Amino acid sequence: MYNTDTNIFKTHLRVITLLMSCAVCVTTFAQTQVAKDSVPTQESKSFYENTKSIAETTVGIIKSAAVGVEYRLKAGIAVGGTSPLPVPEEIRGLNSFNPGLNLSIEGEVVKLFDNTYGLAFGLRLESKGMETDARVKGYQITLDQDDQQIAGYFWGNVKTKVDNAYLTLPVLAVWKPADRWAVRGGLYGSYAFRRNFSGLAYNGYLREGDPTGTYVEIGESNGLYDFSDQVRHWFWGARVGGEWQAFTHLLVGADLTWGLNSIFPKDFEAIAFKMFPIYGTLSFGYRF
Amino acid sequence: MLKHLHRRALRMSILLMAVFLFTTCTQEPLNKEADITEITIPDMPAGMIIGSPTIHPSLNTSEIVIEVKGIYQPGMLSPQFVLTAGATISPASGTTLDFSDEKEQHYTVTGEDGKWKRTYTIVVRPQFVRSEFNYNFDLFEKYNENHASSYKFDVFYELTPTGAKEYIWGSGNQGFALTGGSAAADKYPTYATTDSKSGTAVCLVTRSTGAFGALANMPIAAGNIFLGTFDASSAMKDPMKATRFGIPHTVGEPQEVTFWYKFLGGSYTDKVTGETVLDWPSMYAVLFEPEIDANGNIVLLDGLNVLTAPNIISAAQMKKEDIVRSETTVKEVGEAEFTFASIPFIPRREFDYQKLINGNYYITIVFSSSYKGDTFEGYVGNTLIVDEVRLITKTAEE
Repeated sequence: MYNTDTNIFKTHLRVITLLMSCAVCVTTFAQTQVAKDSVPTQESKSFYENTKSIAETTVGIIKSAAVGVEYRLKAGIAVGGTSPLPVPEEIRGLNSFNPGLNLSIEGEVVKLFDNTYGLAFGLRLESKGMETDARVKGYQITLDQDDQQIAGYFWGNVKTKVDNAYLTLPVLAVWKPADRWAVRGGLYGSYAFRRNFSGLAYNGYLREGDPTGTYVEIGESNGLYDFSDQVRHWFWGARVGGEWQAFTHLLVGADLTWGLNSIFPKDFEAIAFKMFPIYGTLSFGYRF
Repeated sequence: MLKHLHRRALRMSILLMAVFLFTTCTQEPLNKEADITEITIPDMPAGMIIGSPTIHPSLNTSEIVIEVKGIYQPGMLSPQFVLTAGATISPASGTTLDFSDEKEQHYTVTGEDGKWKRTYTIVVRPQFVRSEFNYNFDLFEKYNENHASSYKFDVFYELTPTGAKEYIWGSGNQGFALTGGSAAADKYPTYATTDSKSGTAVCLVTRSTGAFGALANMPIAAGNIFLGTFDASSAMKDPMKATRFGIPHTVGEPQEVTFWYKFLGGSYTDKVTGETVLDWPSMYAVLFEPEIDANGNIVLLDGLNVLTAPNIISAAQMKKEDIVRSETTVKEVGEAEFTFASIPFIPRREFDYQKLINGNYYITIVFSSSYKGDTFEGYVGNTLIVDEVRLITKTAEE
C-alpha cells in the first residue's frame, strides 16, 4: 500500500546499505593509501609526487593491460524518474518531485582487447524509485483497492510512488580515448525483485467510465491505487556513460540508463500510457 | 540497423528534452467534458419555474425535467444553456422549440475536444399537485434503461396523471454502484422484491462496501429509500450530503405516515463503546420549510440535519421499542409476517396553511435498514421490507 515499506524492502535496503558502506570504505582506504604514499618532503614535493603517482599509475595500467582483465567493485547513487514518454498533455505540472535515495552496488569485469577497446560485464543490485505529485486534467486513471476498482477520468492531483529494486546485467562496449578515460555504452537486462507502483488521486473529481460519466468528487484520502503486482519483472534498456580513473584503484563514473520497455506489460490498461525508467547514476569504483 | 538506432537515439534525445520542459511547454489539453451546467428560459414569464429561475441540473442526469407552476402552460420556448468550457450544443442555445404538452426535446452536447458527447432530454412539466399520497413501490425500472450506463439497480418512480414518470424516490444505489457497479439488482442495498403486501415492495439491506468503503471509514451502506434525490457527486467525499431529502408538499397538513413492513436484523459492535448492540432500521418523515440560498436555490435537508434542522415544521419518527424484530420467530425474511405501522407527526413549529399553498413546504419520508447507517455503523445483512406507504393529511377545513 502507498506509504508503507514492506519488511522485504527493509531487508533489501539493509543489504544494499551494507554493501555500499563496504565499497565506500574500500575506496576511501585506497584514496588515503595513495595520499599517504605521496606525502613528500618539502624540497622534492612536486617532483616526487609526480613521478611517484605517474609511476604507480603506469604500473597499474601496464599490469592490467598485460593481463587484459580488470575486476571492479562499484557503488552508485542514482537520480531519475519513471515517466511516460512523451509526457501526456493531461499532466499539467508537478507539485513536487522527490527522487528518493536510489543506491546501487555493482561487480564488474572489464576485458580489454587492446589498450583502446574492450567489453564490460557486470552484475548490479540497484533500486530505482521516485515520488511525484502532479496536477492533472482529464487523466485516465483506475482507483483500486483489493478486488474493487473505479476507472475513469480524473481532474485534480495525483501522487505516484515508484520503488523498484532490480538485479541487473549490463553488457557494455568500452572505448578508451585516453589512458584514464573510458566511454562505455551498451544494453542491460534487469529482473525486478521488488516492485512498487502505487499512489493517490486527491482533491479533485472523477468522471466514472468516460468524461461524460458519473461525476464523483474525490477528497483527501480515498482515491488510492496500487498496481505493484502488475509491474513487469523483466526490463531491458540502454546504458551510456563515461569513466575516469582518478587514482590507481579509484574510478569515478557517470551513466545514463534508459529503459526501453514500459514498466507495465502491454495488456495493462489501468494507466493509459507507457512509462519508462530513466535514471542517471554517479558511481565510485574500486579497481582491483 | 545502425540508421534505425541512430533515429531511435535522436528520438530519445528529443523526448528527454520534453521531460525537462514539459511543465512549461505542453499545451493545455482541450476539455473532454460535455455537460449542461446552467439553463435559463428568458421567454418564460418570470416566477413560473419552481425553485431558482436559473436551473443547475445535476451533472449526473441526462433527463432534465424543468418543473413549472401548474397554472402555466408551456409552449414555444428558447432555453439558453451554459456548458462546460469550450463545449458546443445542438440545437444551439437559444433555439426556439416546442415544449408544449410535456414534449421531450433532445440536445447533444459535444466536448471541446470533439471526442465526447452527451445526449440530453429536456421536458418542461407543469407541477403535478399530488393530493393523495399512496406509495406502493410497484413501479420501478433498471437504471440502465433510462441512463447511458451499465448499472442494473432498481429505480422506483411514480406516475403523474399524464403518464409521465416522476422520479421522486431517491436511494444510495448510485453511490454503491461506484464500487459494486456490475452487481445484480438484488445485490444492491435497495431493490424491488415480490415479498410484498401487494405487487412489489422495496427491500432495503445493509451491505458491506468493501475495501474502498472501509478506507473512507464507510464500511457499510444501509439500504435506503427516501423522497428526494441522491447526489452521487458527494458519494465518496462527503456521503452525508449525498442524500438530498425533500420534495414539494402543497396539499394538506401531514398527520401521520402508515406503512407495512417486516424486519430481520442482527447486531454490530459500537465504534465508541466497543459493546455489541442490536441494529435497528429507521423510519421517519419530516415536513420542513427549506431555506433559500444566495443564488435563489432551495436548500434541502441532508444526512447531517434531516432530523435536527431548525426549519423542520413537524416530524414523525418510529420508536425503536415499537419496531417488531422478526428474527426471534423466523430465520428467513420471507417467512416473516408484515406488520402495520402508523407514526404520527409531532409539530416542532407552527404549521402555516398560506405557506403550504405558496409552495414553501417540502416533505420527505425515509426508510433505512440500519438506524446508524448515516454514520456507517450497522449489521451487514439487516433487512427491512416496506410496502403500501400512506401519508395522511388534513386540509384547513377539517
